Amino acid sequence: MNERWRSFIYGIICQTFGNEPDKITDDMALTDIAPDSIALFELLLNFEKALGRHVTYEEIASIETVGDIVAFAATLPPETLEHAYCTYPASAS
Amino acid sequence: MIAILEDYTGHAVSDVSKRERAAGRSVAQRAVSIAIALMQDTDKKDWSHRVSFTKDPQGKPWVMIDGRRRDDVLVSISHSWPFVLGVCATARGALGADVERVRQFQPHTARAFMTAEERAAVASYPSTQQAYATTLCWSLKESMLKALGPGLRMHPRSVDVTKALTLSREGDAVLYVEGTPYQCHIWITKVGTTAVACAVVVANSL
Repeated sequence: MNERWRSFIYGIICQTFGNEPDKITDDMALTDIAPDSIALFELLLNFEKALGRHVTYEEIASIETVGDIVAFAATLPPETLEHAYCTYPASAS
Repeated sequence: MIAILEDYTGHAVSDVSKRERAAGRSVAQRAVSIAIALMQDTDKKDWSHRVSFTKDPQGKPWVMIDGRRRDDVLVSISHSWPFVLGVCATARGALGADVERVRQFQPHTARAFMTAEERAAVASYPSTQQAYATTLCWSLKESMLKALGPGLRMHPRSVDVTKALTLSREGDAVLYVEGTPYQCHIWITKVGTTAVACAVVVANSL
């Protein structure tokens, strides 16, 4: 995956959970880095806001790790990610 | 139902996520040991070394006693720093438990997970208890979804816990999941103004 998108996704995660970007890796379980279940739900809402569309629970049913989010984002149309990158105020850099 | 709610900041494991899992196993093991001892009229010390846990493919924990899964001994574990909750119910059905720190919610977050009826029920609480009531609403939904299996893989707004929001500590209420009614027994407690914990035993669908 394009490293710009990975950095962007890490940025949303860090912004939601309050982590430092250099502490996040693809293999980390979301349940290990999220402080609680409300924070996990807020992460979903932040991704919906960034992507500008609703994310169905079927789409995220198998997402358990940071890498799973990165893999899901890789399936989205490039223009969706481009729009998100340009309009959402999150960055891991 | 046996529920153990603790502050696990002093747990002797340095890695935070491992500490959380160790604390969860500890409270769950104690809750199960006490529940079995009461059921069998024996000392809980007789059971702690015989109790272990396994998880099903959806991540839901199940009690093993002497290496054998017991579907009549239900367990659920939850964490919200710095609290850990372990609940055991000796019943047929399904159990889910949740503990959350009480916090102010962004309006868009509350609207995203609450039904219109739930928002009305929460609005009837005094203004000083709005954060508690909203957190309780989330916690009840999470407990229900954990009991039925999907956890956060089902949208929380698919669960309607309006009838439980009027309970103060313990009682029965009908909760709805995607419009299907379920008879439930509910337990609620709070840690001052800091945290709320609840457990839901789902008896059956109606």
